[in-house]
Amino acid sequence: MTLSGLLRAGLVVLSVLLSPFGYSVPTTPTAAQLLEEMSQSFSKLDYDGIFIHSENTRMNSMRVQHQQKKGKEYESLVDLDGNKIQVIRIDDTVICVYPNESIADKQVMSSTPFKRFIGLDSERLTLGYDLVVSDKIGRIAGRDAYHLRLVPKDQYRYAHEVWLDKHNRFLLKHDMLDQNGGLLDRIQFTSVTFDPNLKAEDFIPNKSSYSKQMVEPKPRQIKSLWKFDWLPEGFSLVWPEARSLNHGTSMLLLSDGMATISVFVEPVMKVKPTSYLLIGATVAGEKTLKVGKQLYLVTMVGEVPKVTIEKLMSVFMPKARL
Amino acid sequence: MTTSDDSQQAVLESLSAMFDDEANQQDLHDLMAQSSTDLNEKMTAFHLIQHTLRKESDVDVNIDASFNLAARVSAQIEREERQKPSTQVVSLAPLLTSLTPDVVSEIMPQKRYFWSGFAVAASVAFVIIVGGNLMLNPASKTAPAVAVQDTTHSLAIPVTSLAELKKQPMDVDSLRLQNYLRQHAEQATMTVGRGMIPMARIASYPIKE
Repeated sequence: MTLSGLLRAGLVVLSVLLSPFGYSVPTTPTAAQLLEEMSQSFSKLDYDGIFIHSENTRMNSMRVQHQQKKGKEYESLVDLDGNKIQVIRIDDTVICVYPNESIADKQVMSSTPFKRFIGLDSERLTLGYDLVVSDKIGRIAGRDAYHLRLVPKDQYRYAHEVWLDKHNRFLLKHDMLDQNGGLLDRIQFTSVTFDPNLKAEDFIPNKSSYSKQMVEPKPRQIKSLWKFDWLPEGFSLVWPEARSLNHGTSMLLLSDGMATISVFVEPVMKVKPTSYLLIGATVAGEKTLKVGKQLYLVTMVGEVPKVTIEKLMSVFMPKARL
Repeated sequence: MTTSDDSQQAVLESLSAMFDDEANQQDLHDLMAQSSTDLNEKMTAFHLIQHTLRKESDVDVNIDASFNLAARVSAQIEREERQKPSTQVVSLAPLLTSLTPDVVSEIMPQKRYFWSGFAVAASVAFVIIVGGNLMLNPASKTAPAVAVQDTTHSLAIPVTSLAELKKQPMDVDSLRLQNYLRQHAEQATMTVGRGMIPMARIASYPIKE
């Protein structure tokens, strides 16, 4: 047998050995698979971890705990650096725990349960981003991690880099980067355990603290009177109609599957100067529109480049005469 | 022809401008043209409207309607006459400093922030307070133009310089922006699948001192 014949025979034997009957070569999951599993990991896994959040020169640390127990979902988020404020969620009940009543009386807290995740739409994501999985395994908080990049296809969104736990796809690190690769915002776990053995008592406020149950206002859907003449590729309205807020403001929400932009419209009596606030990854812009005799203040807020807000402002208009 | 309704509307707009810290001299003169009793009645009504509009923000903007607004407006006009301002916009801040601390704190509550170190929203609010990093549209650095899209007719608009905007303390509008930032962060949490962690960005929780 010639040498080439021997090589061919060897390859055949090797392919048989590596077939489903034998060892299979490990393959890196696709980006869509990783992101889908990441979005499920937060509610499916039990965990207890500490993470830092930094933007610009600011940094803070928090502890997050999560546990499924007897069909109920327990979750807790504690500020470790400032006042010891804790947000506890037991299924859809949200409780805010303050050091004392006086702080609670002065504090305006979120009243919305945190898990109302609508679902990952990886197809929509690919309209705005190239999804790239690195073949190198990273290491975050002492755990092996897949490194996934969401590279924007245009100038209307930021780049994202995420590191997901190799074994359970938990999000260990998330960076948001501008067009020049500059870091805008980072969330990174410094330690995390997925066998926390938490007890129900861990989610019961301390007796010496002051607790307040938050009541989520029921969102009221109203017919949207406004439209965009243009949207960046991949962006669409999250809700089919607008939501009415308590003080006569209507709210619209845009998303491309990763970034979100909120739009608030309220009737006003005075013209406001067009202005923009840029801080970290967040841009807020406001502009006055006049429709008939009525002035409206339009405010847009989102983790997108300023150019996106500017352009959206220029194409936002009433569907018909109001 | 000016109707009574138009006149009433103009007074309300002037009051609104005053409490938005954007009153011009015409606004002040219009207010002075009202009798003290009328003015106080309108101010009470105005605050009731403001309170109703802003009640979601959990800020009590009620003030004692008996304080003599007319006298203070008059004093402000005198100051303005002496100072001959170069812009059309009158700052309400000097007027407010002459009020009692309680009234001032209710109109312009000071804010502290929990979790401010990591909160994007809080950072924005903080920037508004200190005025240090406020970034307006670079194209309008010297005199930001007011953009009004109006297909029928133009509107006479006072122009405020950037420097003056920076000096203005936080007002109800800033609280409005904070509310919007919080609403945005909450909805973003639900839209992207990162569990509770994006909530770390919210945390713009103003406290009434």
